[in-house]
Amino acid sequence: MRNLFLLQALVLCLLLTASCIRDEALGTECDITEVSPEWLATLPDGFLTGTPVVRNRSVTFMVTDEADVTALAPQFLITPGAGLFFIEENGAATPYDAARLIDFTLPQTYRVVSEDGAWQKDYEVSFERPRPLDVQGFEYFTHNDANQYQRLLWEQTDGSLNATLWDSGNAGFAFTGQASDPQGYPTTFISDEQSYDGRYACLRTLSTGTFGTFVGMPIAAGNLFVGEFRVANAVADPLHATRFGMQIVKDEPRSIEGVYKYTHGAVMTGGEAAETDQCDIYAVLYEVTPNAFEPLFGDDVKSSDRIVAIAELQDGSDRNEWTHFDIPFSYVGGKTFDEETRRRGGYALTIVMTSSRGGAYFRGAPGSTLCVDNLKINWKNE
Amino acid sequence: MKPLYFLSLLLLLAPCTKASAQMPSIPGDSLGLQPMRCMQVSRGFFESVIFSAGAGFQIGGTAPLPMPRSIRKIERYNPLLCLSLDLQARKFLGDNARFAVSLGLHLEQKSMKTDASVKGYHMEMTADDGGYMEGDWTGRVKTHVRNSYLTVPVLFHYRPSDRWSFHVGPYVSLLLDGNFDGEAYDGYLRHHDPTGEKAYVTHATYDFEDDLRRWAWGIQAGANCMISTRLEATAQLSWGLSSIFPKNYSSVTFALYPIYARIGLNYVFW
Repeated sequence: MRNLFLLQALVLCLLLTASCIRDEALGTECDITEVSPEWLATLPDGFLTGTPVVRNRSVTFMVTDEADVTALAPQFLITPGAGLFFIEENGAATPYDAARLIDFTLPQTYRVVSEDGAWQKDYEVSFERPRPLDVQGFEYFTHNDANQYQRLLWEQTDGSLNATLWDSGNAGFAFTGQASDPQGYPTTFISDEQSYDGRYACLRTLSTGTFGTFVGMPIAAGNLFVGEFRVANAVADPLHATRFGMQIVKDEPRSIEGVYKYTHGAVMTGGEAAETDQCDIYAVLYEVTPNAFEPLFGDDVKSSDRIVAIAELQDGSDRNEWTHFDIPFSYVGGKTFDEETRRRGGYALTIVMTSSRGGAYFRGAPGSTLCVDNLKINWKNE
Repeated sequence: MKPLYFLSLLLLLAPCTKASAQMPSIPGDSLGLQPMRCMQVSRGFFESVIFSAGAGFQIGGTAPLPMPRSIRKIERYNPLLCLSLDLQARKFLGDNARFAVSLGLHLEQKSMKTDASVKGYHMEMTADDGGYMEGDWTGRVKTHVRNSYLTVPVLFHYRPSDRWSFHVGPYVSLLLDGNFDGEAYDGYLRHHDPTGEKAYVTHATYDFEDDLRRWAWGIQAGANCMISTRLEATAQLSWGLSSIFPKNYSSVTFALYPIYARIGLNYVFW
């Protein structure tokens, strides 16, 4: 019998030697993970609006009209082991120098190179001056950097186009591989025979297919909102992927106005079978600490005690024809609008539209379609 | 179901055992195991053929070789209890019966559970509904393999003494029932490649059962030891040389080979 044990031991040794863990490969990732909080703390009060938006290939700072962006040396946190470079006007990459002041009147480019040197990513770093929300005709769009889906370009009152203020959950849907072209995504901007006035926003609730099911997210509601969609959280913590609101309040908001159409999808997912899907359109004015912006999230955008006023479409049922709406803001908790707070940057505003009212909790009916056009915030002193 | 397979095979082969022949004795046999000597010599092919039936259990793993660099640590490994039921017909060669060839029929399970940490593990998945996902996963991966095979080994035996014999040979397996599923958790996916969008995932399940290969082959080697007149202890290593997934399979980008060690007892029908 002893030989038997010997044999077993031999087998074990063979398995162990053949299957040993090999040396770790050098890092392949090359991200700007965030803007250095230490550097942000050195900026003067009233310089920034909101928090910097770090996307996969861009970093956007929103700054006030008074901010001087001609000589700045922003600092970034990058993937450990990776290298950071500044791309000169002639295209040459020079190693990052924290002491060098750069003029950000126009966007500048930084490059991150992975630890193993095999991967690199260019980030467009820009300082934007957002205009207060006004009319939104959904006439302009661009595509994300990988050219998969549409992103809204918001035509600002000064004529400039802004790609940062509005966002959607399209970046999360990209992971499901369900769409082969931009029109296959939940949030689209289209112009067709149904148009009310040129291009309009078309939000659709779609099935996320097999991969959505793998992560317990069977549907994706079309959505469009003022704020930021952090795709990194889209799967692990979807309610915190949607960061609602920006500090772009020019006056006391009176109402939200626009036209919409809605058709609900046939079969509800994630809710009561007898339930009929509804759309949702709402705007929320809420309080923020002027220099420490904190957005509202998917789970408190309608319930936070920071909410000052809310304007919400009460009836989200079907509308077969373009239907006008003008919903007044109603103040909650006895709060009133304070002009002094506004001037200090103490208010933020979001507008949210979705083709499924329970979309944040993955309740909705694939096929539900919300079309919106000529969206407008009416301010008190116009 | 599985014991039934075995039972019916046993019944089919049972009549043959009656025609079992006496095994020629080995000159200078020191152990002098009685049954070896008293078998009667009959004519024809079944002359010097013996049958055995046995059961055993095996442990091992379905593992990539060499281990890809993306696998950083095996956090947990559970071999699970894998049973095997075996029938074997052994024909001795030559006058001294030192050599033999055998044909076997094994009903066996090759299972395991693992929990590994991976870094930048590249994979692609295509779903039946057209969904397609490609990316690099960094985080934990749990894998649960439960495969049942019908295996036919062809072995060459060498018997230096009455008590001991050693064997080696190839086998082919037919997958009767395959399961390959698990979960990816506590990590993040980079879409397409390391520069793609990053998404944290706390829990995602996967199931690649439908993609398992029906056929497998490999080699076996081991030793038998007579521990009584009719009981034989056996120990064996079976090394898979075909991956359990097809070549160029994109969901699992490295080949996975079943490597299992078995110990068991055979009842020998002399």
